[in-house]
Amino acid sequence: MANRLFLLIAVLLTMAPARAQHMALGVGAGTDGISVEMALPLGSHVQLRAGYGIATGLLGYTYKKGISVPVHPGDPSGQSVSAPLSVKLGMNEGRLLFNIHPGKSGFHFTAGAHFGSPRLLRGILKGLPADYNTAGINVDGYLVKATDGVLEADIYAPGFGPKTFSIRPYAGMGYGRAIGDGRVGFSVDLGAQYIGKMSFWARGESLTGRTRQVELPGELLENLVPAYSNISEKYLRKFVVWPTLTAHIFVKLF
Amino acid sequence: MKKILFHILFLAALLPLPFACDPVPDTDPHFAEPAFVSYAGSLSVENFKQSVSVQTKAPVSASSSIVSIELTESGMYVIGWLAEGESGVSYKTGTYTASGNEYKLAGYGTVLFDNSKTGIVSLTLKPDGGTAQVVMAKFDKPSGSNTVYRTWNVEKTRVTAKGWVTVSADFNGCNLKEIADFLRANSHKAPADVQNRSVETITLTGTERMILGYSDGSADLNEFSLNGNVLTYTFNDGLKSFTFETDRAVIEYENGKCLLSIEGRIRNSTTSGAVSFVLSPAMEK
Repeated sequence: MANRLFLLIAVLLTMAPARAQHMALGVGAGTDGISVEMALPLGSHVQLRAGYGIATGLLGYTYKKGISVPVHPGDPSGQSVSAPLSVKLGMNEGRLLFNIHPGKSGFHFTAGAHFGSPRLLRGILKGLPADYNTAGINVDGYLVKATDGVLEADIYAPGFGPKTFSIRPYAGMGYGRAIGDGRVGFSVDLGAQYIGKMSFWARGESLTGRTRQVELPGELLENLVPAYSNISEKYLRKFVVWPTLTAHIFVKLF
Repeated sequence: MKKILFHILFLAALLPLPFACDPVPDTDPHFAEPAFVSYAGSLSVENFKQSVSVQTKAPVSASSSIVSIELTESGMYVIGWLAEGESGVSYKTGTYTASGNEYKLAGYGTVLFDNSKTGIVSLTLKPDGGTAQVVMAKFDKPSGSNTVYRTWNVEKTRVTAKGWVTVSADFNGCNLKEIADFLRANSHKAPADVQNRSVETITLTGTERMILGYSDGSADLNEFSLNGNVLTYTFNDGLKSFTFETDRAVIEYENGKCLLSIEGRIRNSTTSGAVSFVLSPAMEK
């Protein structure tokens, strides 16, 4: 699915620039990470931006007090220890955006989509007891467990895409032109991505050592994490858009 | 020129998109035929209690009676013997080489019989340092061939225990004490008298014997029948408290490994669970 979509987009994009007379290369930063974009005008009112952004490991919060985990994963009522939890951005995706300039000023509306990895956030639990290096939860034959006391899990938010490939529509507005009259252009954008229903995923290992990302079922998380139901009701089900504030600088190539 | 540059740059901007695909596991068993298929079989000594007393240095004591000898496809032997005053049969494993009708059992000695036919045969037992004796024995040849009929090394064991929280754990090899300790620590019952030893090999023979070989050199001999990829087994050994109420195991192959999985309620316990062994061929040519 992901490969077919990529090929479709690639074919469309190779057709689009054929008529363009200008092109710019830009870099940006924002709540969707750092990015590299190519921009070209499609007529006098529309500018196409295509690029790639990554936020993996950027911006995060560590809850040093940690969350309480049982010393033995199969004995939730037994002795517990505190394990520090870090949550960081996890996006890693392509984007295809259209800046629509209604007038001659830099004000524009933007519509398009981010697509690629469905990972939105990455959670890292450190200092887990030794049992967690051996034991974990079995999801469809894939064992999710810690490595050297560290367990990583991702929050996936695929938007309109399938579970393992995100298509997140974006809508917003901004000021500035990717390709303006001068050699250098600036642009600031504020908008939102529709991220859809969030779910927890982690890397699991099969009996023969194959690894893949597996979805952690909600009922399983409810048993493991007492506060999961509350978190799910309060945040995961209601938080369906990702606010996106970005700033870009573009250099016209020709 | 500009157009070409446009195309290249736009494609380059999209190149980092993920292309990850899960490789399809290879489920075909590609294993070399074991070296001793033509020599394999089971010997059951007739009337052993009355007629057989074998003198040997090891592994069977002078006052022991040999009950059976398993000769596996992979070149492993298992001698079953009954010690004087004991009711249970003990087993010892080792490797053998064969030439014609003569088998040299490392750590025991030589056995000689006509291996060209099945049924009652005259079996000459010549233990190292002992006196040769001739007894009558029943020789059964493998009823057929199957990839699974060989000796397998236990590489990894995955144990799943179902409870309030269902937990699975991977163990290198299969150390029974390590597994029992894990089960107890995670609120599950485990036999108190589990020895600190590992199941190193699982041997399945064409005469439908399942042999568990332990790290201390001992073994347990069980029987099974095979229907497709479902193995129905019986345990006649001290592992009973660790077995499942179901007597069925499923055999699968993946990426050059054999997966032997048992699922069900653990015998004498309220705990349900599963055990899967990851096996690799042992003693290949």
